[in-house]
Amino acid sequence: MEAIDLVTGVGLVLGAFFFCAGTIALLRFPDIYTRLHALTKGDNVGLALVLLALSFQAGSWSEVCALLLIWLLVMVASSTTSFLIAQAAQRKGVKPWTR
Amino acid sequence: MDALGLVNAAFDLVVIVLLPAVALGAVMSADLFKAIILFITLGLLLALTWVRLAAPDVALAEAAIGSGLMGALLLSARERLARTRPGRDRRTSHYPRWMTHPPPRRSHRAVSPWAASGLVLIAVAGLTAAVVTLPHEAAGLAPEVARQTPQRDLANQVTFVLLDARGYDTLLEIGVLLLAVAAVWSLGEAPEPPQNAAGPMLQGFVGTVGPIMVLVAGYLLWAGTDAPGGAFQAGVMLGALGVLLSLAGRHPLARLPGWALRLAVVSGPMLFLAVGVTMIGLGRHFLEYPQAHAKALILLIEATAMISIGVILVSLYAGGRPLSDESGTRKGRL
Repeated sequence: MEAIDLVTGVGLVLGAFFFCAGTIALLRFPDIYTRLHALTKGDNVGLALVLLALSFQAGSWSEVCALLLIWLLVMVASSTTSFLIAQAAQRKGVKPWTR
Repeated sequence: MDALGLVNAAFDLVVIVLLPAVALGAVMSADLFKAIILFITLGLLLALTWVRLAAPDVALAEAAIGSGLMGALLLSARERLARTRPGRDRRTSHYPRWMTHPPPRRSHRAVSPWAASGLVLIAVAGLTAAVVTLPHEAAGLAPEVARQTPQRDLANQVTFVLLDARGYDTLLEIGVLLLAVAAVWSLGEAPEPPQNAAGPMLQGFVGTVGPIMVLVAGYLLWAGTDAPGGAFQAGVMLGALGVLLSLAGRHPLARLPGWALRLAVVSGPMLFLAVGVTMIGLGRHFLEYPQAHAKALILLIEATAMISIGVILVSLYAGGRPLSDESGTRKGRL
């Protein structure tokens, strides 16, 4: 196995770890705000790592740019939607969790 | 089996298990919101399935239409249902009861569940028999399509089949959308869109993403001639942008006078038909294009169809006739 494949493998596994962490948080955290917080953060980092790992396998720079563009677009979309979900919850009167 | 094959097999297995589970969840859920979210999830899983079956055209269409826009339509329908007080709303009082009242939980089922299950079982048995008795190594129509597809001009076999070889399929699909708009418009006027619902975040988001979506629509249309894409995918991209704009409080079709809106809705199918009829006039078959002009003609048809599909989808999302029709003024919202 070449070094570059190893880097890709490590990146993919790390990315999957962050996705897993985000999903576990979604299932385990107490209220909608904390869930959104953990999920969007975890998924953004996970996606970044996965795409970084894949860009080492890309055949050309245009492919790398496409992967980067995917990451940026998903980040814009997910941060906006998480804000909107939180806003909707707040308007409905969902109280933030306190210990 | 090598490592990659093993990973692919595991992935396929996960999708195969999830598909029926999510579908069942969507059908069985008593909570409408949950059912809609599961339906959207099902669409995304189906898109993944099509990708794994090496059918990116279908995957794009499924993700955009089956999951994205259908999801938006269902969610807005549910929200409208919740806002409607049965029988009292002036705009919906003439609707049939099943449209304004939530479905009954357990009372008077029209079809016995046993009869329904029996029918489904028969259908499943028939399909299974059909699949099992399929000849192995059937060539299908793929070699024939590959032989017929022109090499340079229209290299995407899916677009070739959909618009050149079987153009009436696409024409009829747009016809269905046209009928749907006619049905929605005849039901009543569009509900007042919620004002000041969207804050600066959503408006900023649309401002950022909107131009990119227009670019992607154009790319999908152009790429459709020799790569996955085409009028439907591009039109849905425009439709999705229209839905986003409506949500952000900037109704994209509001400033259009009624005749312009109707022209935009029918121009796609009309041009399609006109070209087809002209070809008959020139002594060819309906929707048969001369080789030399096939690409230009198909791009023209697809571009107009894209606009029509986009406008139709936004009109469907608006959920009724444009308000300007009744008041006679041009400030109607859609």
